Amino acid sequence: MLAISWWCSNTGANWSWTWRPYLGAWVIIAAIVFWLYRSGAWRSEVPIRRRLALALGLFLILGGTDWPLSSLGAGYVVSAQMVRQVLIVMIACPLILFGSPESLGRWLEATPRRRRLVRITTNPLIALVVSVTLLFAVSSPILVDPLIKTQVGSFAMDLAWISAGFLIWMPVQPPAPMKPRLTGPLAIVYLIGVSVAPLPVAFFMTWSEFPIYKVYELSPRIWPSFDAQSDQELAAAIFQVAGGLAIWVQIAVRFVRMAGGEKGGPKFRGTLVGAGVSDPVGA
Amino acid sequence: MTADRDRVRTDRRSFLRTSGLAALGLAAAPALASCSSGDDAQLEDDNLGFAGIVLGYPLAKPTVDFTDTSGTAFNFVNDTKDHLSLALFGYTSCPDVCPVHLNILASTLAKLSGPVSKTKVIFIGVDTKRDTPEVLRTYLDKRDRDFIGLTAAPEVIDEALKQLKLPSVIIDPPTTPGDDSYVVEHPSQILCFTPDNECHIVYPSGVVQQDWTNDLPRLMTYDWPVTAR
Repeated sequence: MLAISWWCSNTGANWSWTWRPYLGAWVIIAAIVFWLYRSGAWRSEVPIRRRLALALGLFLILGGTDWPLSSLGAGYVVSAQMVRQVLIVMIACPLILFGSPESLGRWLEATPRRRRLVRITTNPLIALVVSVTLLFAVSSPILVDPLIKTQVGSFAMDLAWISAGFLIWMPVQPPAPMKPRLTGPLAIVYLIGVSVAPLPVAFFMTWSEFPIYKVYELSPRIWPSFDAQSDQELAAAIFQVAGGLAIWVQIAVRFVRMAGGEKGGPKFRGTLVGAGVSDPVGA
Repeated sequence: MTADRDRVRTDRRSFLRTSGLAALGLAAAPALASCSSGDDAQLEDDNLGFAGIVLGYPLAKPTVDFTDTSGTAFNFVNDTKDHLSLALFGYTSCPDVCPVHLNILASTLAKLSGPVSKTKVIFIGVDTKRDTPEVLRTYLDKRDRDFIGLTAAPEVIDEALKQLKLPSVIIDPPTTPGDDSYVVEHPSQILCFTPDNECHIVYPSGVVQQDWTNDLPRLMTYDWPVTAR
């Protein structure tokens, strides 16, 4: 019989490759997809890249909250937990914001109260401090060890990631037609800040003499030779390399666009030749 | 099927918990009975800063003869004499407690240096049908080549458990005839025999590397109060 739970959690049971869907993840994603569909997120007039970005973002959220990644992350290996964090916070959230329907952006700007809320949450300093605090909190062993043992606690951690992800990206990638609070060099400086701020967590994970999370140290190992310490070091590497890469790709894209946009006009060094000239070089 | 397996697992956990607590209760009973004594009261009050559970009175080493993985006779009393030794009963197909204990001990000992890094870790295989000396050796070598694997006839293992005031091993019948994936119920705590050749403290599951790193050097030299057995 197929065992179904609402959300992933650390059960202490031996790992099994038998499919074990998490009902909560499917129900929530299905509800969001339905709502987005009704809001016109996938209408033909929406540019294809935005529609694709939204679909990919939602797919990654589902991938990060459903079996096997969520089961592995919640119960067995902290490196899987870091993969989930990078997927959700650094990749899925900006994709969803980029692809979200314009009706959402208009709704957010419809009333003074919502506009005030958006102004606060897109304030770069507030966004950075609150999101980094959230990420620190849900990476702290004091919270991770007890929370991950229950479905409610594990759900709260995932919700914190998603909230932190949206907060991080709102100042530079709000839903259309809202204008980003930060553009150009300021957006790049902000993203560099985002890439640096969570490094202390990775530092502790890399240099700690012992596994910092009891819950992973005491979990049954999936691969006997892959011990808790190696797992933790891999998790720190994923956090720094994959997480950093996701942000630095954004920085690079913005930099290239900014550099291209600033020049303006034709980007050739030579002289453009008019149509119909038979001997352009005068030979 | 999965529900059955989950039930068996839950039953086994509950057995391990209950048996562990029962054994500890037995061992702690004299201390509880004589709580007017200052030293005993101290033993009851806390675990002297150790991560394990300090027993009310020490346990003697089992006086049975085992066989190690090379086929040589292993006399527990003589072969661990004056050494800090950690003994646990388990089986190589154990899905959770045994591999976790062994992995944590292997990682801890790899980080320690000096005499304490020579702590003897003794794994007594209780699943005599499946855990041949070769199987035991292969299993332990994946963690630490210095770990000692012991085996004996089921009645000898039961006698050792009895001497250590631990419950006997129970082998659950396979759910389908001929199925070799049966579950073995066994005491899950680690018994710590200090250099004074007695077991004063046991470690339940849940003890992590940091706890062992703090405790092992202290256990090497700790001056245990003399208590009546």
